[in-house]
Amino acid sequence: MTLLRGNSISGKLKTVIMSTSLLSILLATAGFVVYEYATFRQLLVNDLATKAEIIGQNCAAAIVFANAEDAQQTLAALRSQPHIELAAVYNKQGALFVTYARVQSGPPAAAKPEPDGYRFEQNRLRLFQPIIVNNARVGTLYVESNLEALKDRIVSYGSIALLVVVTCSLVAFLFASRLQKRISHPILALAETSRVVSERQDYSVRALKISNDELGALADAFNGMLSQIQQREATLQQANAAMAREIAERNKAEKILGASEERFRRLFDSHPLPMWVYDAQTLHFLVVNESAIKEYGYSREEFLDMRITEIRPPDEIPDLLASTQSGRPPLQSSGPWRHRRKDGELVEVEIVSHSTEFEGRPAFLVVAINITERRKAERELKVSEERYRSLVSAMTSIVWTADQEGKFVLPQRSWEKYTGQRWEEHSGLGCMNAIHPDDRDRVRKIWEEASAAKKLYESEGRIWHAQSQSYRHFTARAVPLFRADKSVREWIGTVTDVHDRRKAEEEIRKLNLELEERIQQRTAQLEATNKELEAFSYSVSHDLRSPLRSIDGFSQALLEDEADKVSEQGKDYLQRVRAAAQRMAELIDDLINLSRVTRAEMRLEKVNLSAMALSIARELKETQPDRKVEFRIADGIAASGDARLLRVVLDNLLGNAWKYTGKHPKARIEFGITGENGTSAYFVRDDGAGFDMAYSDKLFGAFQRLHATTDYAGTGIGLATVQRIIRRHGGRIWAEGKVDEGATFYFTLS
Amino acid sequence: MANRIIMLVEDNEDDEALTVRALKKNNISNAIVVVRDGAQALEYLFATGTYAGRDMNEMPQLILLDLKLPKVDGLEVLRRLRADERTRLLPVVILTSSKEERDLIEGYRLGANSYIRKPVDFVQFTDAVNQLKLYWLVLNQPAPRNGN
Repeated sequence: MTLLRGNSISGKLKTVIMSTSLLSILLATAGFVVYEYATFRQLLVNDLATKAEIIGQNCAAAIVFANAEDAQQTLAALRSQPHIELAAVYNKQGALFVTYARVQSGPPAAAKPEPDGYRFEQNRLRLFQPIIVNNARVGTLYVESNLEALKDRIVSYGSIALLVVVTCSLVAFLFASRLQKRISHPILALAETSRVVSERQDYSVRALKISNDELGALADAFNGMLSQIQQREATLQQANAAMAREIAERNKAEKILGASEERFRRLFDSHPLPMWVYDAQTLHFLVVNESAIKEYGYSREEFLDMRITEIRPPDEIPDLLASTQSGRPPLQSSGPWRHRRKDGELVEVEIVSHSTEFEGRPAFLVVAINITERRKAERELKVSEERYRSLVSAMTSIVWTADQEGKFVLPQRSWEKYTGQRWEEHSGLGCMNAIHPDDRDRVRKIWEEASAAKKLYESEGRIWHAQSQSYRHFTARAVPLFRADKSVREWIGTVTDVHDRRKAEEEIRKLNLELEERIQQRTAQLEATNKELEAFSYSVSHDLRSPLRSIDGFSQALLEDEADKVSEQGKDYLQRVRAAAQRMAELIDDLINLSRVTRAEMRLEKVNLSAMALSIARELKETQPDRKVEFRIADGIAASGDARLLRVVLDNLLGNAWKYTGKHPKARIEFGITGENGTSAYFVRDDGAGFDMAYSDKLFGAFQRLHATTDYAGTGIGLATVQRIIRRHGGRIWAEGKVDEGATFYFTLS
Repeated sequence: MANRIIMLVEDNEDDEALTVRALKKNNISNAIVVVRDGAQALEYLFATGTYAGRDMNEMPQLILLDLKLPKVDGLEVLRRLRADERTRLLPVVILTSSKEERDLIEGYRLGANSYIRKPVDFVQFTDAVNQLKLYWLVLNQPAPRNGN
């Protein structure tokens, strides 16, 4: 049946006709075949039974006479019947008498006869038939036939039937093809028409009437319907056109309205000032803009849930309610009000509201201007102004303002207070009269120059001070304030009383002068003392030596000239006198040196200490050429200092080293430099007599000696002198030593 | 030549005696003129005052000049000598106990020919005088006398 569904109507008709006729033919043919089959089987049985009857009769005698050979011959006649496959004769007792097999290879006949009758088994027709002679059974004949004949018959019948079916089908098809057109053609034509109508939306097309039967009526009805549709269509189109026009117009209007609304909505939303609309009766917020949301911290939803009273501090609500009563002008400004933000902070606002209508209800459009900062600035300005005013009045200085020509055009309170000039007196340039007559012209000149140049005015002088009834020193400064066009608007200036400062400065100057004088006096005194000291040491070196020279000289003269008159002991005494005199001379020399070191002027220069030490070493060696002393003097040691004084230092230190190694047969004296606490220390080391560290603090004292004069000659002033020189160079000297193991003297120079 | 005088300007009598002795010890036989102060020395040399009329041709072969002198001090005497044509070339040996460097320098600057510091040790002094004698009295060829 599925075949019928998708096909065209002609296909369907053909299928119906064809399947109907085919079914009839097949049924008929099948009937014939079945009947023929049954008939032929019966024919086969009958034929086999007839043949068996004949053969049985022919065999009957042989059985009776047990003549197997005859029986065999009889059976052999069956060879003419190709469809007989097997035959057997059983005797009366049922024993197999003879057999016949068309083919020897087949199965043998059964040993005992089966019940009489035929049966179809395994493509075989088997028949047991009694052999009757004179109504007495003498044996049984068994015949087995194949069914080739039946098969052949069926095949030939089938072939014929097939041929008949095919032929009939062809014929039926031809007829069906021809006949169905008579029905399908008008239907197809109708279908085509309706397709055209639906595809082209062309309702003027008409179906062709082919026949006068029901299909014809259908075409007529279809055409009638089309006509109606066509008519309706025309009406509809007219209506549509009218509607389209209407819609177009409405769209246009809506677009214009929408754009305008959008514009206003956007204007409202993006307005930098917080805005909202509230219901005039319920006081509910109806719509709020972004700025309001941002400013107040409430979300849009929260806003729309609130009334305008909820953003006011409670104490303002009565006033608010009063102001929202009817009778107010449509546009009004009010405020300052205070609004509460979501975070609780109160802001001062100024309100502009306008009565309007929102969604058909009376409402107010509100713009809230936050004036908190402005008010704060105003208050601060006020405070600042007050402060300025009080500062000005509190100041001892005068602050003044003048017009572009430097004239007082307004009463200057601080000026009046200080100078005692009344406004009539100090107005204009009258103020100049408060300045000391000696300074007046000069100050006026400076002022005129500054005012002409429009530059900083700075002057000083004396001004009348009413309170103390005296002129006091002042400094004045003023700067011009310009208009946009660079012209001077006014001058603002100060006059500062610097009288006390001036006095203090004068005092300081005087004190400084005195101090300087004192210093000069002191210096002069010092210089005088120095000179005296110099003269003293000069005369000491000159005059103190003279008697010594006499003592020594005349002692010597005695020893030489009066040798014969002086005893040996007397000579010894005279020698002691001489030695003492000479020693005293040395002491005097050393003392002079010591004082000279302190007084001498320092001349700083670069000094090659290595070269200096080498030269001293050479001199020392010359004094005692026999001594075996090894000098180790480091190369390239230089220092900044006074060459003459440093020479004294090295003379003393190397001389000491030389002296105190005098009792050693071999000695070594070193001069070098060593690092100590980041500064370099010079050192002179010997391996001579050394000293006990316990007395090291006495080394550098004048006239302090650690050795007896008899052991080592000396005055005990050398190291004191050395220390003075080192100190004058800003350095330090110290020594290390051990008795009989030598001494090392270190010194630094700044 | 051996008879020409040596002039000793010395205020201290002890020093004078010792110097004379040292000269004698060194076999210096020249006549010695001793003056006690700078003024006398100048008078002698320029034949004025006490020495007016002295023969100006008789100039000392050597002047031993102390620095610390009454009235006119040694350096002043030296300056005056060197300023005058007649005495400009006279050998002057400063003989002093001063060890002051500035005296030494000033002495040489003013034209002293030698500078000897009087040592306390008389033996040393005698040696020094010996050196003097060798150089100034024996070896030195004096400048030609003025007017000769």
